[in-house]
Amino acid sequence: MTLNVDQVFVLHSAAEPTVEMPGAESPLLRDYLQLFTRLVPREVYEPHLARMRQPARPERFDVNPIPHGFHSLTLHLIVDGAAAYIEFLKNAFGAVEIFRSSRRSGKVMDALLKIGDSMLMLADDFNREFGLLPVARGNLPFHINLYVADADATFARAVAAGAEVTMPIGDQTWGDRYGHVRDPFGFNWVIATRKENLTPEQMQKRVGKALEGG
Amino acid sequence: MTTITFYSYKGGVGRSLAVANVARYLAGFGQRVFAIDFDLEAPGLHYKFALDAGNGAAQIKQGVVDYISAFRTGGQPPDSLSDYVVPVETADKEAQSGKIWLMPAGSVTSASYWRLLAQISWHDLFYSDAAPGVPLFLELKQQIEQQFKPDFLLIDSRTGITEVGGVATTVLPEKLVCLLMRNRENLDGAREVLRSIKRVPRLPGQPEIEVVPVLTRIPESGEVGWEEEVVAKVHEFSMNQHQISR
Repeated sequence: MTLNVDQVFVLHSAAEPTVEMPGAESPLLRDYLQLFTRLVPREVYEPHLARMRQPARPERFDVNPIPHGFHSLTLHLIVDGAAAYIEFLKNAFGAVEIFRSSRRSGKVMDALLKIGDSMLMLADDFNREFGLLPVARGNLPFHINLYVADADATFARAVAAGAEVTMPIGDQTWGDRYGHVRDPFGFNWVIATRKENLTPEQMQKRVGKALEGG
Repeated sequence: MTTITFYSYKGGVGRSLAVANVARYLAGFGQRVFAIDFDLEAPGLHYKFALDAGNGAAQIKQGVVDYISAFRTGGQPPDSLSDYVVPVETADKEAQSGKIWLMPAGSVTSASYWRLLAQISWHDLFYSDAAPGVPLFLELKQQIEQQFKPDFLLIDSRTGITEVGGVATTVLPEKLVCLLMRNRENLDGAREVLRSIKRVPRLPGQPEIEVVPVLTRIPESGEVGWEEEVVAKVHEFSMNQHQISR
């Protein structure tokens, strides 16, 4: 007679003292899901995994992984003459400038506008500085920016699905976990998670330092 | 219905919390869950379901102890469990939610609970001639299955080695989650329990109990490699169970 003890499971002490509710991301979710592999049939929990791994609720964490005001997808345009284009967008569509970071030359490194309920990112072409193919050499003049709760996981999944890494994922000076892929159809995706909330001043300073090598 | 008993040799390992968490997760998966508090001497599962305050406390009038007492006085178990069971609010109303019912130990804030508990003769229930204890608890399990049709029955067993604990760990479940803290006392105690589980014969046709050891209260940020080492040691200990002869 054997007792069929082939695996020891672990529940971490972060479990206590609160009862965890399904739907919220929990440090214990991983422990319990592991345990469920032994306790319940796979078809009981498998259909719910994606929902249960939803982003953490902002009230539980200081930094929302999808920054306030953003939808999951945001277009990031690369424009020759970004500063002038921002003025055009204000005149034409009532764009509100949320943030702008410029180099001494006046080129826009990063700008965030709001049009209606959506954000629009834009910049002059700094692809080369990020190790990407410049627009002038045939790259598409925009990225699709995807904010998710766990950029590393999404990044890995995209790569596994056939996307090519154009900028490895890493912690960026402006507070994002961030990387680039080009999908098999030629579109460029930014996959990011907000890790740290910076003021526009802090961001301008840090990004400027990083790009100007100072 | 799958019956899973949660057992710990000592208290303070987070057993009731684990029962409540598993119940909530399973309900979140759309499952029907029935939880029962067999820790009659130190009941607390209803706290983990937040039934200790407001409406919840008022809802709890009777439970396992009252069920056994009704059997003692009436000679047979009550027909309906509805007076002994309270529904538990499931948190996420938007998700396709399952259901949770709790059969608490009883109305533990009342003096009558402790009086009734003291009047139960475990010896008569389990060791007298034609002891009615095991059939009674099998009847209870059957009533739960018939009247609530749960997908899962979760039993919060009491600690130590006791009659009602024995029923919960050996007769009723298909799976036994054995919660352990990594100290000698817990591990030795759990070893005795596993030994006793091996000794108790199962009912005809009952498959063997699947034992699932779970280490609890492992610090979230232990040193690198520490946790693996602890798990390996406990695993080695558990594997040794295989060599225990009957």
